[in-house]
Amino acid sequence: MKTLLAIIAVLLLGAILFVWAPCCRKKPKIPSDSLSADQTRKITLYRTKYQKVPGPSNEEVADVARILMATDLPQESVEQTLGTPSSISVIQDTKTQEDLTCWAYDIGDSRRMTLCFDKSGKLRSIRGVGVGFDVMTDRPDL
Amino acid sequence: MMPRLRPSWHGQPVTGYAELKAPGGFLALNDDDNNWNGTPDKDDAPPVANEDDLVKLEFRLLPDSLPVDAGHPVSLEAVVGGGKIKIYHNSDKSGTSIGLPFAFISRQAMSEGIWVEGFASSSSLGDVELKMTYEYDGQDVGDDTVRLTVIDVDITEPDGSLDAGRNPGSSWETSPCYHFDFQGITSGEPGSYALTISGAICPASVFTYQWSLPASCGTLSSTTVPSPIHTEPTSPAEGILQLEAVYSGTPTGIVEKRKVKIYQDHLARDYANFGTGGSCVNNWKVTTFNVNPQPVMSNWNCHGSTRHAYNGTYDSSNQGQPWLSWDVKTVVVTEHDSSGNGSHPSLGTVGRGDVVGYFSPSGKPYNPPDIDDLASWTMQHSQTCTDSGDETYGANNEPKTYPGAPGQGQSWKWATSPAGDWGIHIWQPSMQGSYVPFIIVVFEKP
Repeated sequence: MKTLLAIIAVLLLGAILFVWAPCCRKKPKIPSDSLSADQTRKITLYRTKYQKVPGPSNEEVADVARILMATDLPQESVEQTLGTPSSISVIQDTKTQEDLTCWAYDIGDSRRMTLCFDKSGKLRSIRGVGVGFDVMTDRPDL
Repeated sequence: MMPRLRPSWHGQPVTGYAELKAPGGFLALNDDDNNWNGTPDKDDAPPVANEDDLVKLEFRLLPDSLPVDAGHPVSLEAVVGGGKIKIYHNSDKSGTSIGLPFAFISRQAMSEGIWVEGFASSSSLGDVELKMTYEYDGQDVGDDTVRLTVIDVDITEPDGSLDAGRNPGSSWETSPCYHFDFQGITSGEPGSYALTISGAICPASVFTYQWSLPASCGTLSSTTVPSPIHTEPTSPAEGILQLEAVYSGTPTGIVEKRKVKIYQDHLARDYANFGTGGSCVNNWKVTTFNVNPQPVMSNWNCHGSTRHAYNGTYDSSNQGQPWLSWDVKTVVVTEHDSSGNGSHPSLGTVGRGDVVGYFSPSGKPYNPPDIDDLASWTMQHSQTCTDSGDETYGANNEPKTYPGAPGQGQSWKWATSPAGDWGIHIWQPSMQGSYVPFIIVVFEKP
């Protein structure tokens, strides 16, 4: 009887694991999974020059911004990709009024790239100053 | 003898019916904002602070021996156009409004008069008619009428005013050159511009325009057209821009005003608008001149603010800026110690509008630097001299904090700081020759 109960318990546990495990085996979208070799190369180049002299060129910064906007990386992967931001602030989108969490990366003196995420962690816009572009957004209609 | 009613207008007794009919009284549409709450005063709940647009109507009944009481009332009614006005006991609309018809039942009440507000603009001359009637023993023994015209005089541009208790957000220009629309700069400055001036008067078919502006604030191409062209003056000034409705060559006294200011240069205007201590990033806001709602600005850096203070355009790049081709006054090199205490040789005399640039040598010789290498150096910071000693002004212009690695130690605030001091707290020995020492160049404003 004990053996039978043990078998049933094992079967039940196995069934639970069978149902539960796949949904929990989702891997985070890490850059190596999400980025092409060329995208990875451009980001690596940017990282190499970040807060160095000479810093990344405007085009190299814009390349990274375009990659981030296009690949829809989750917030944690962005941090993994670019490193810890120089500062974090919450601002209100002037048109949608939604609160955005904005990570500022001070690329060099007087040069900054600010990534703004909505509450779901989706990257909504990237604002630049001293890097050759003012704003990139997933909502150009706004 | 028939008793005689004598309404008076603006304190002047009116003695004849014909004088009332044409043109009658003029009244301003009460669509300004005397209490600065963002709502046209005519739509405000009373009382309205600082209200100054209601006009008093006074009444007299002759001879003075005639009684005025419940049995002998003096009544007031709107024969036509009653919807274009509202009647109040007080000039600030306090107390209950007076519905028409209305009756005075005492000489005291009659002598206190009533206050008339223009609530909707007239469509033709004298299209509001008020009639007074005196009853004696149930008989109408005397009446008189007055015709009013509600005039809407609007200065549509500039929308703001230097002295306004509340300037609308629309008074802020949202693209370069960023400024309030009541602000100009003197002619001769790079990127100087004229004020945009425009107005509207209603009913348009009845009245003509009369603009006025002190000569010190510039000239107008015409004073009698809806949108005169302004020409900026050569010297700073401030004064009142006024638009008045004119009827058949006679001023009506119905005016709208804006206080405008002509600044010495873009720098003076930007300093007034952006001040010091506030952020220049993260949706920073313009908070000056009582603007409400406050305009939200995109990120600004030092180069962008320096460019804007020069000619009113905005470019945040560290390359291609106009001052990089100006005459060079001074070139010096900073010195630093491990504690972040730095110094630099004297920059000499700096003048208003001169730009101080801070360059990394980027591998080029720096001791001494060769100005011919300017294009190879990396411009890390720029600031504009204010002509107040060695003071400079700009966005992100607070000196960096120790140890001040590239991109670090910046406050991103609007600030003044002494010329040459922005990079003196830096200690980055591993970046000698690439990042530091900073080469400081004073460019002379042409």
